[in-house]
Amino acid sequence: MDESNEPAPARRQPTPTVVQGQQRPAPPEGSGRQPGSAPTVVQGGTADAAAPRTIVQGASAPDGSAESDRSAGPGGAATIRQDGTVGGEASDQPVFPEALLDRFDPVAVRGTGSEAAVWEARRRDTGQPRAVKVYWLGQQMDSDHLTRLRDPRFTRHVPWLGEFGHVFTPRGQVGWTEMELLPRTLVELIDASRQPPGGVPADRARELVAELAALLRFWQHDIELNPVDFKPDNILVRSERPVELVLADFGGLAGFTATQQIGTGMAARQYRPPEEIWGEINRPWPWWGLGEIVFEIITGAPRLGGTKWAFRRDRVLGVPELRDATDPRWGNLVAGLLTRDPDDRWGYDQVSRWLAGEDPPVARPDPAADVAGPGYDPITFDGQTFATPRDLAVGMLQRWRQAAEWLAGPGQQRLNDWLADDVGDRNFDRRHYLRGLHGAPDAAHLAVTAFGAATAPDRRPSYRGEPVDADGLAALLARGADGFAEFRRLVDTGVLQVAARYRCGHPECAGQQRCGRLDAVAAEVPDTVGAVERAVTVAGRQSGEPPWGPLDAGERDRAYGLAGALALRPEQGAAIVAELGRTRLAEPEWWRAVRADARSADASTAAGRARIVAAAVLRERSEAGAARIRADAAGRRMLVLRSCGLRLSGAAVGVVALVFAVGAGAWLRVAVDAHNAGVVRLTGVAGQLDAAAALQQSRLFGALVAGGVWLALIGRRLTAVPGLAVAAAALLGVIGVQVPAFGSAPGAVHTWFDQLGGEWTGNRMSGLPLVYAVVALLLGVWASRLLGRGARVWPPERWLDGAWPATRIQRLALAPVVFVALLAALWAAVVIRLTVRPPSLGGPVSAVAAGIQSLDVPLAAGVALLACLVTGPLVRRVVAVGLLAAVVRSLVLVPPPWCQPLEHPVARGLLGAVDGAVGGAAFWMAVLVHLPVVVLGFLATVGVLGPRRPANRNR
Amino acid sequence: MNALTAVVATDRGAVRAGNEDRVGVFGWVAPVEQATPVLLSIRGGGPAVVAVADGLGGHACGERASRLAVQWLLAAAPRLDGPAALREELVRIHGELLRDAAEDPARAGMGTTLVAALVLGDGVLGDQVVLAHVGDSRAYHVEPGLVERLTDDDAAGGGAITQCLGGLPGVEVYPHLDTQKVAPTARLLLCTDGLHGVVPAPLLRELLAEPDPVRCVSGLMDAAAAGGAPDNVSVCLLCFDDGQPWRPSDG
Repeated sequence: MDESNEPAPARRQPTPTVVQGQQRPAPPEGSGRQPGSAPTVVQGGTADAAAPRTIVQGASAPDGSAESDRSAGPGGAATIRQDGTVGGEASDQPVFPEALLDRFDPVAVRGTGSEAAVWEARRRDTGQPRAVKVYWLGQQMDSDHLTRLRDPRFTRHVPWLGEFGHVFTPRGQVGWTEMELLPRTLVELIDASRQPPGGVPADRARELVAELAALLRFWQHDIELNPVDFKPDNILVRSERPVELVLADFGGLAGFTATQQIGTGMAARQYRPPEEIWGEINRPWPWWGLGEIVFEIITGAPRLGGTKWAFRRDRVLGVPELRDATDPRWGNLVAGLLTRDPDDRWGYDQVSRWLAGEDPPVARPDPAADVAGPGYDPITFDGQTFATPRDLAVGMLQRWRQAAEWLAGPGQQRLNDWLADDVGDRNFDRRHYLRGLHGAPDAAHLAVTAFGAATAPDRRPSYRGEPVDADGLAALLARGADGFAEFRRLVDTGVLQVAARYRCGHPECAGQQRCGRLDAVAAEVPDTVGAVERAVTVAGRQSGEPPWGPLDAGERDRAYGLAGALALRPEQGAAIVAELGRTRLAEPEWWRAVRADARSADASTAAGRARIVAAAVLRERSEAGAARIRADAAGRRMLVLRSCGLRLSGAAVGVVALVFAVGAGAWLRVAVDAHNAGVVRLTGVAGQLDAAAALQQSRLFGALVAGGVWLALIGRRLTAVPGLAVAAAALLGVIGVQVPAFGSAPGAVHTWFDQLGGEWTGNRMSGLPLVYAVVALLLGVWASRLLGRGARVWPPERWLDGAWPATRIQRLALAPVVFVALLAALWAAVVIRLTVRPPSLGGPVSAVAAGIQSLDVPLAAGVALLACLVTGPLVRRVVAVGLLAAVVRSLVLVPPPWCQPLEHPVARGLLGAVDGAVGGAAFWMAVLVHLPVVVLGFLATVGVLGPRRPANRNR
Repeated sequence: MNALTAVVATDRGAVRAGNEDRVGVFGWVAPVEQATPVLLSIRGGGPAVVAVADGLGGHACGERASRLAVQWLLAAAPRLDGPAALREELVRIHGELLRDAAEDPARAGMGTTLVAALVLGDGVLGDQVVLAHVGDSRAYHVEPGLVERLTDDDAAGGGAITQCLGGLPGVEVYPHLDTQKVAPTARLLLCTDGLHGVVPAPLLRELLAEPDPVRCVSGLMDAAAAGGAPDNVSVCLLCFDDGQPWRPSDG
């Protein structure tokens, strides 16, 4: 702003007071003003927002100099309003000429317009209020025009005009006019007469129409001037009852008999007739404006609003909207005044007849005119001529290949020009779809589809000749991989959003302008693909493998396709989940999580569908991960161990279940027999029951073990089999099946079964085996879950990493845990060994076992002590080695007799009590509970089990 | 990021005694006479403004109005962050021109048309351009195979315009604004009526198909001269692809 700081010119400087004015008498009595009303009103002017004045470029200066003179055009757009608002911030502040101060006392600026500022003032000589219009510098005041309007015959519909003339100001000569100050405009009168929410009552409306028609006729025929800016703001109210209106704007006038060009911005847009578009200024011009005003009067609101294009479109294409004019007669009045052809438009004669109760004919659009053609030149495409955009769109959709080629070539410019210049089309977004087509076939094809959506939306949408409505997309996606790829292209190029603009006929889309299904798919698919990408990242981190790449092309296509299929038909989610497969041993751990997530997902929600699609897309990566596990030595080892663990656990559970089933069956048989024998108190026969159960269990030992192993092998493949097996075992117990000798338990086992029964009889610990069985069942289930889930919960990584125990307290806490674990392992090992090879030493087995076990107490204590003295990964190794050594020692090495003095008497006593209490159940406890736990604990301790970690991670 | 390139030329024509047009790009205001195309290029950094103005109100006043409008708009470029700011700035310039005209009776009616493009940097509107115009200076979208007029003249025919920056006091200005998405190979042509009023539309399209932007502007100026150049002619061709000539593969 290098020049904006120049000093502003001084204002209100003394100036020559040359006044060129003509005296005029005061307003005559009975001119229509209500007595006493004038002093309280204001009158002002302001620039109409859409009413800039005409400026002629390139006009020669009056002196004929070479410099071009851009002077103001004739008759600026003095759009007078009554609201007294001042022009915009850019307007210069008006200055009341000092030369007029001796005549008028300025009160306030009431408004500024394009040609002048209007002041409220008082005459110094009479004290009467006046409006003083002071023209802007450079604006010419038409003295002849004003002189003519001062004719007393015109007073009925023209404001009283007093003096006018020119004065000199520091800036130059300006014109001024003294005018009658009137209170209100037609805008305010309509507003005051309305009955909200409707318009003005019919009688009052008829009175207003009559006055307005008389006003127009008066100006056109008596004054012979055509008010081209005929709008409520410019119509002043001199009297409300009876209504007396005057026209205050003198700027927008054209000679009634002349046709002259004016700037399009002069008259208010809303009240301009269609002929403004082709520049015809003649008699009917203001009668269109009257039609708009009548509509406003009877409905209480303007007929149109919006952009200039909305107005132009209405003027060119629109049929006047008469829905709010419920009375057919009023509708006829509006239709007659808003007739687009000026030759057919109603004028004063028709309005007068209408006011008299007649129904003058309204010129309706001739249907034949529409048949004859749209009024613009046709366009040629592929050798065929098309009269309308719709016809062209249909032809292009049918010959889509040629259409795309045409648009990628000369058709781009041709269609753009035809739509813009000839048709004046505003439906088709040319800037979006008709750009960038040169050498871009996808964009050209999209333009064909989009053009159809804009001009022939009732057609079935197609892209490259293929239907792209909801059914079409479903059929496409049913094609599989190639359909997925094509669908992805449709989504990426925005075809779905365009296709959604066609009318679909879906019930839920009724009343909408778009297909809600396609919109939903278009919105959801990218989100779903994004969710899949995030799932890939997360799974890649969990896999422990080298960083995964993003989705490859095939995966991305699949993600798009499945996302689209599920968005269109969520009920397909169950089938996709079913294809994810069952849990297998050889599968990556991350895949278990992804699959479980998909199985728990709700396909009726977008988030649920995204989880399902993510699993379906990642399934192939899980196959690759499984192959890597099978190919890797460590992976194979893990698989073997997992398999063994599962089988072992399953077998244990199965054997326990079958044993107790047989026992229960045997009990039932004995109980029934006792009942039949008249024995009422079952407690007395408990021993018999147990003995019978033990006998039956012993007889069926081989079958039970085989059945348990079989159950473990078939696993969960046949879920009904375990239940049937248990039922069969119970039945065997009931019927007391005799089995061959080879199927019976070994002698030792038979003995233990007997002891088992004996121990149960009347023993306080008789329920212990049952407790153990339940514990075994729970442990088996837990072990299965542990192994099946990849030991995600145990052992903790901190233990495997050597990060635990870290503190002294933690190490001290570790010692008793290690001690108890070692003792349990040693106990089980001794029991199993003595069962398989009964001791040759004298005394009960339990006593012998207790003696051997007590020898291991110091060993267990020593290992536990050592474990809490070392740190880091060494802790785990000490425990593992100690555990292994103790078990091997107990199973293999029989302590020599000289070791007996080493037996700890207290420990021996305690262990002996335990062995005695457990009795024959010890073997089963050892086999079914202790041994599996010890094995699992060992494997976990040495790190065979547990989460897979990156190879470079320290263990 | 591609460089933003403008090729500029302005000439008084064959009839007028002086040049009331003014062109400004990237903070640089072209001299009164610059018939030979000049290529300017910038890369990154804040909003960029190019403007073409056609003064009115007599030779001295027209030249002053167009020069001031372009200077002020270019100076305001750093704070123009979108359509609203550009509109505000143009309205402010309108007021400043009115005030400037009020200081000297000889400047009464001084005004100017103006068409401007505001290229916004990353983070505001991305690859979008805000077009603004007042009066009958025009903007065209140009790409291989397509020339599309983007502005509707504020004109009533017969050389009359219905609004301008400055001009007569008491009249507000309502700049037309339009936000455009621009492809890298697209170009924007800003020009005064000395070009579009003289060179027929078919010829204009043909000339704008020239792949090389400098030769394109030369061709436009030559065409205006061949048409008699009755008015000042000013052209600014804004390129978003480093100003490189189009290749056959560009689409």
